[in-house]
Amino acid sequence: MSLKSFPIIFINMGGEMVYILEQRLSAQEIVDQKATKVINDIVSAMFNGKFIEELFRPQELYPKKAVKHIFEKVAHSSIMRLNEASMDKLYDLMTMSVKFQIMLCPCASDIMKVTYNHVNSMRKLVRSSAVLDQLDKAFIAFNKQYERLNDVEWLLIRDTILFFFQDIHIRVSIFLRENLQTQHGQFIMNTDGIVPTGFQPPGEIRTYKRGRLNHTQTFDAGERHEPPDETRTFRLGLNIYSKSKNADANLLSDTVVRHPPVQVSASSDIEMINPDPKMIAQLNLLSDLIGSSSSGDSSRSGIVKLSLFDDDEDDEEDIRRSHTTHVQTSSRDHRPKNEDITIDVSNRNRNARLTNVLHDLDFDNPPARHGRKNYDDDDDLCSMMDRLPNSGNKRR
Amino acid sequence: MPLSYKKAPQTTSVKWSASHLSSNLTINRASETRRATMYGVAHKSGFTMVTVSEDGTKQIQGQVICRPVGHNSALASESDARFIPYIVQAVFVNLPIRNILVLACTKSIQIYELDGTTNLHTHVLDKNHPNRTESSIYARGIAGVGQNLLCVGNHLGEVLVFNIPQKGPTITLKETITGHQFGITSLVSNANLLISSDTSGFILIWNVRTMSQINVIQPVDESGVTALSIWNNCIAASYANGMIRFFDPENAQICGSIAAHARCINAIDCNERGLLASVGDDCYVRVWKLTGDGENLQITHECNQHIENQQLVGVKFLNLSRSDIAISSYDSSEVILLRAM
Repeated sequence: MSLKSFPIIFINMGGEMVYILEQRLSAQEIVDQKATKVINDIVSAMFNGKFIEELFRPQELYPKKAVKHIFEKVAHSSIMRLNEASMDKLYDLMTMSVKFQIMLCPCASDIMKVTYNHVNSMRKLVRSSAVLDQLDKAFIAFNKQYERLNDVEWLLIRDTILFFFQDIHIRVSIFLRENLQTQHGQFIMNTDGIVPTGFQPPGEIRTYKRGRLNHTQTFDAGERHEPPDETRTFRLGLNIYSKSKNADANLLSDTVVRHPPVQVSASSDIEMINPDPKMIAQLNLLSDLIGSSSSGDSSRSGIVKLSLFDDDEDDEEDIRRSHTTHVQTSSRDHRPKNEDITIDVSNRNRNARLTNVLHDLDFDNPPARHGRKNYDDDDDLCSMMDRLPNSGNKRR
Repeated sequence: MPLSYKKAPQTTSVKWSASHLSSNLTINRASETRRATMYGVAHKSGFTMVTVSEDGTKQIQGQVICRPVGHNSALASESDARFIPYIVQAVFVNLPIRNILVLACTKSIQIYELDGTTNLHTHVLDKNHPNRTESSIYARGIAGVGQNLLCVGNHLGEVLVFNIPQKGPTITLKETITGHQFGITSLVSNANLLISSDTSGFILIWNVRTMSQINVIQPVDESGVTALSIWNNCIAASYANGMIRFFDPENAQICGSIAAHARCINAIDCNERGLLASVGDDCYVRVWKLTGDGENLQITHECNQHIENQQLVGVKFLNLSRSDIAISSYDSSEVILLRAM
């Protein structure tokens, strides 16, 4: 299939990541200066020159796990730390958002517009001219690669991207609330109204004799359509979190994410097969390139801990978790102490046992611990995950 | 009376969900000797099928995983994922002398016994060839021709013609026919003609006996052909921009067009009675009735069926003389059966 699908996946999922983090940083009242630094650093990590060069090289689709790993690195390229559950949730949201955008693109070449929207919206959140410069350079590189592709190449790219998102049916509360997704995790598809560029509104049959138009008739297409309209704003890929930033600061905190009862795990899925050594090498290279940009500063400035979760209290767990992470942080690299606590995804292995304990605790008795919000989602996997220890507790 | 359809009460499912690929549903129709219908769809690197007894009560599942193909045309070890193939198109091919399953994949063409149990032949696509438009190497477009020939298109626009023996795995490449400048998207054939389409919208017409090109249909607009079908010496082609067009193979002239769908059309199929079914990303199945022939074609619209929230990727008539259809959709493992009322 297409060897040009990964940059599209990366830029668009990265855009969603920046939207979500920006919204959470401001919702959790992280000091402006720090929040700005986080966003600048992350965008800078995503679009640094060497990385972009590697990114745009023709390449096969990466396994999902590998892509997630890249985004974990991106998320931790600044002074912000996410715990494992937050990272999972962030990644699920990014995944479903981009799956939605790709599936609902009126025609395959509109994927270009989705990507433009992400790049432009990210621009608005960046506060550093150096980073903006990087973003612009990446954008030029992107255009160079993609602007000349024809319809069918875009179809191939879309089909390849849809391999990547196939069998992922996570329910997202924003989508459910806005009536964009069904309870089964399917996206709601409305295809009436304006038809995509290059299309005619369905409803006309023509017949020809010796190559010349002979007869025209109409038929009922079952829904109303209008001709293409290039002046319409293309919305897929815009920052859907920004509009409600003030009205509903906790937009994301009650985001429902649920895995279906039966997970499809087909062995025809790329993940099931051993990873390719070349691919690993390329991935490591990509990963290293991300790490290189801003590793130096994190020890100097205060670490920002961010949680995507609702601010539910659970003191016992929280204390336990803080204690553990304190020990880890200090024993690891003697970072200057600050009021915030690091919960670092990269320490997963050391934390594994603890995480398991927490999972057990939380998943077994959901409703009792539930916070103020979200009562109707009591049985939901991720609203339960919401109750894993988090950062909001301290500040309130 | 126009046609109308009702969803069959029994659900037919395969094990894995269908990928988003054009013409991603193949069926092996029930016959005198085999009183069961086989349905199959491609799922990433796998092919998943179900055999359903005539009364629908018995369903047997089956899966085929594509074999990874290594350098130097050798088969790579199963665990080496460097050469993981994706299936681009999968078709049950019925030749008078033999029935086979053909998987057109990235990097290779893989031919199996009909039930998928035995790999008969793997043809590795030439990776050193310069490539004009797309950067990937793949096969697409599958058609059986004559008594014993199998035609498969590739990303370069070539059509590879294989000799299929009555028995055994001795499958040989007979010839490679060239004419297209861009990658093949679909192949269909009847007793006299082989029709091929490419990503730029060109359609070529070949004589099946001589395998020589007899006509060229120029692209009508910038949209590529997504699927082909043939009825009564009339070529039907669906396009990425929602159009269906009909051509007379005699003179390569257009004889009909339908502004049919509001999104990309992913598959079309014709039966012997002149019914044409089309499906697309707009969640609609539409059925049309063709009468006359290439010189004097009449088209009427029979019905619309809306399958909620499903991007439809495959459609096939269950029986060439009846109206019942089977449909597949992206991300879903159900094969939807629509019975004419």
